[in-house]
Amino acid sequence: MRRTSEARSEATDADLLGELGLMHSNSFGWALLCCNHRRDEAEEVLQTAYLKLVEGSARFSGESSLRTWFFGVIRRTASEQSRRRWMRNQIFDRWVVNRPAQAATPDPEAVALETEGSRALLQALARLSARQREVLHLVFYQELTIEEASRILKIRLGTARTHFERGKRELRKMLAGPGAQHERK
Amino acid sequence: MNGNDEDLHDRFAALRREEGAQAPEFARLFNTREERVRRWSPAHVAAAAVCLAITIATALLLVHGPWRPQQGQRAPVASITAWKSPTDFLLDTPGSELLRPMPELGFSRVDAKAPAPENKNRQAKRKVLP
Repeated sequence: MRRTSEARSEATDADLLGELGLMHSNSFGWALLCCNHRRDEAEEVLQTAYLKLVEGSARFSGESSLRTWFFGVIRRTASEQSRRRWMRNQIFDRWVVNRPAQAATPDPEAVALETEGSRALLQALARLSARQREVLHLVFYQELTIEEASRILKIRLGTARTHFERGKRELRKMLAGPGAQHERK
Repeated sequence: MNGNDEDLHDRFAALRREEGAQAPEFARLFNTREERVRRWSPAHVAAAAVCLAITIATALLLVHGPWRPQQGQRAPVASITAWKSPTDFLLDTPGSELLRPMPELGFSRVDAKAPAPENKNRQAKRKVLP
């Protein structure tokens, strides 16, 4: 009996691992967005999220899809690490090392690899509010529905829709060119 | 998402392709997670060293501190048979001496303790004065 449950658990773990492997590149994209496109931080966040899953501190109950649930874990992990990093910058760098707290800047390596179109899109996304940016990423980049996005972000469907529509409008204006941006200002 | 969103969809798809190409290998992230748990960052090492130093310093101060009495200067410890409770006097109530000796027939200790005649006169005078 025990052996059967262990075998089932191993099979489930293998399935889970397979699914995680398939969506790894998308998970990394989401982690990048949650970390303001800082590659090192995104890797660390994703690794911690995997660790949470393996250790069992984050458990998939099957209430939503694996992707919706895991993206929620990534978002929460990114937020925890960002808070921890801020504390470390404030306390360690300022008071112990006496170095001014470092401002968060995008990874230069990642910036060098971006094409012109992607850079423009990322710059425009950076000007949007965090919620709008997240909803647009989840819908366009991850190809999720607005409902799934609302579940990941833990907001109401109506709120997610509003962020989506407003974000889309703002993004279009910004991508239309610098002339359009000046008009907006 | 509707048909008008195709332009945005294409832009995001291009970004996804680029970022997907830069993504670290799944196996590398997944397999190094255990090493990461074991690995101690310099901040952790520094914090642990500070904690250890404080613990050792506290222990040394407690053992060899200046306020600790020397071996010869120690106050003598009272024996349990010689010990007296600090609230012992509360048990000594007024008039308790009357109850201590064995009572005798035909003899009253209350009469024996009666005030002297001198005192009686003083009380009588007081009554007269007002």
